[in-house]
Amino acid sequence: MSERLLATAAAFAGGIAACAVFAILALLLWLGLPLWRDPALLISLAGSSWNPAAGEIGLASMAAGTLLLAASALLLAYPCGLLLALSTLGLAPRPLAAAMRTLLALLSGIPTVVYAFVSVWLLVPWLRDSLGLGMGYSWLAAALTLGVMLTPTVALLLSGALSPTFTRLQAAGDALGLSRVQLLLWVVLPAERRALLSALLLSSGRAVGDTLIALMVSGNAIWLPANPTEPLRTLTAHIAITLAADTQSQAYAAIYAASLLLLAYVALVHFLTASLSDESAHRH
Amino acid sequence: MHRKPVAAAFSGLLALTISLPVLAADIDVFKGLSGKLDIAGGTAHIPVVQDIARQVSKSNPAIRISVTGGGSGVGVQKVGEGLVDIGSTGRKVSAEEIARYQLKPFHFALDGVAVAVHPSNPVKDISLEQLRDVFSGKTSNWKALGGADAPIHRYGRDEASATREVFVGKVLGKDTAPAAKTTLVSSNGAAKSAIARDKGAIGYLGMGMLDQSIKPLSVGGHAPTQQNALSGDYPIVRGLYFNTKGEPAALPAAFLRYLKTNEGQAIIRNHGYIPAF
Repeated sequence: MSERLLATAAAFAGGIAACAVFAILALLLWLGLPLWRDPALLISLAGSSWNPAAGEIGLASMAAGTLLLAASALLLAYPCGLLLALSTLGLAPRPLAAAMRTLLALLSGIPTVVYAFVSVWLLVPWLRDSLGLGMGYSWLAAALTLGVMLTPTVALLLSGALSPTFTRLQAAGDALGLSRVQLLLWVVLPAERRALLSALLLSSGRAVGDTLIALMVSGNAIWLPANPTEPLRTLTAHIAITLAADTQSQAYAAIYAASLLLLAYVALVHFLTASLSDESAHRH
Repeated sequence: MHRKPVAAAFSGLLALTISLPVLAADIDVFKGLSGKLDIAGGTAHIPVVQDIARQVSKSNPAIRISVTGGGSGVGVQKVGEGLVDIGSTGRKVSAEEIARYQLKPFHFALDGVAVAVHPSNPVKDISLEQLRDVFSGKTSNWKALGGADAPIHRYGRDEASATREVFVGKVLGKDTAPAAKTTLVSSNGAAKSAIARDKGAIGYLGMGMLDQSIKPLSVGGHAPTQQNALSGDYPIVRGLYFNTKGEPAALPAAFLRYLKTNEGQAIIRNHGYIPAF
């Protein structure tokens, strides 16, 4: 009886979540109607020139900025997170591993605004004054900060996903004479490819969706950076900045398009990951 | 524009500092009132409002005045939607905005928009033309302006900012697009602290915000002083406004009335603005 109740409750909750996603999508499409109706505005949206005073509301630079920042931050965070996850599981001595787990849990709980704030006062001046890398507010600064912010999350996700398999296979590994390191690297990791992928998916969602680090550290210049020491603007930061504009303006309407782009990113990543994991499921 | 004699300003200042109930008659416009007065919008207004809030809380603790920034665009929006009692703007609200929200503007001060650099920067003066080239991205090295051979770091504001609107309007004009590579700061205060910390910086902010931490440039030979702004010699000038939705209620009306008193005008002057009464 209680089991059926639980199942109903779970289905209900799932339904609400699904409805929420579609409601958000419908709302954005509806609010953005003036944009979709005007071909000139649509063409402008796809461009890279943002100058609302002249009727130009191109989001291409911001869309590229989001991709650049998220990808570079993950490039930093994912390997570090994986290494940390493996360390907590068996690469590091036991007392150290336990301490690391506590530290990671603590770090993952720090709000992004704190990372961003510390970055503004330590990393940005250091990049600018000590290393002489441009204005300091840059793609590099934002990527480093976002990478550091994501690392504990990636590590916890991965260690949570890998640890059951690792525990289950430990006796068999011992019997075969495998060391903990060998077992982790040659047996557990290949067996948990899907977990590795889903951790990447979850953390890329966070990387794309982060607003405050991008807003406070990236410099927010609307252009495509030629190298990491130059500033960029992400879609999320752009939304936060443009919220202050006149609600009836074209600039404000572009927020709906920017939000839809963000939704599309997330949907695309989900789709890719789902198809990849289907493939690997077929092969087994 | 009518200017009050210096003596009046001085007596206002005196009343402020001594704040004896007998002398502080101007603050009595708040007498008998109570409740909350929320103000949001332009960031140049914040020091003035905070100062008045301090005076009011001393003489009448039943009144609580709160102030937040966001930029002039936010000020118009919030007062228009009835979220705050007064929306502050660093520009005259447009006829369209007045029609949409039934706004009633109250012009209380004049402010110049200053161009500032890091104190270590040797550049002292910049022409309007050079300024246009810098902020449109044509000039990107200090050498072209008589400074060191170092890249120019531009700091600008977002679209909700009237400081930006006035600056871009007067310096770049309608036909020149602002440089894309401009780092964004979100308030006059943030512009000041960003410029103060960056040796290659150039940025713009309300004259009232100037202090020792940054170095203002004279524009076309005219120093950014309120006298030059008032006489029209200094080219980048704007009005500061408080806007209410329709006729102000008792508390906002008292606030606006207080700005016109000697004390109120002294506060406006203290923060580097010129009272517009």
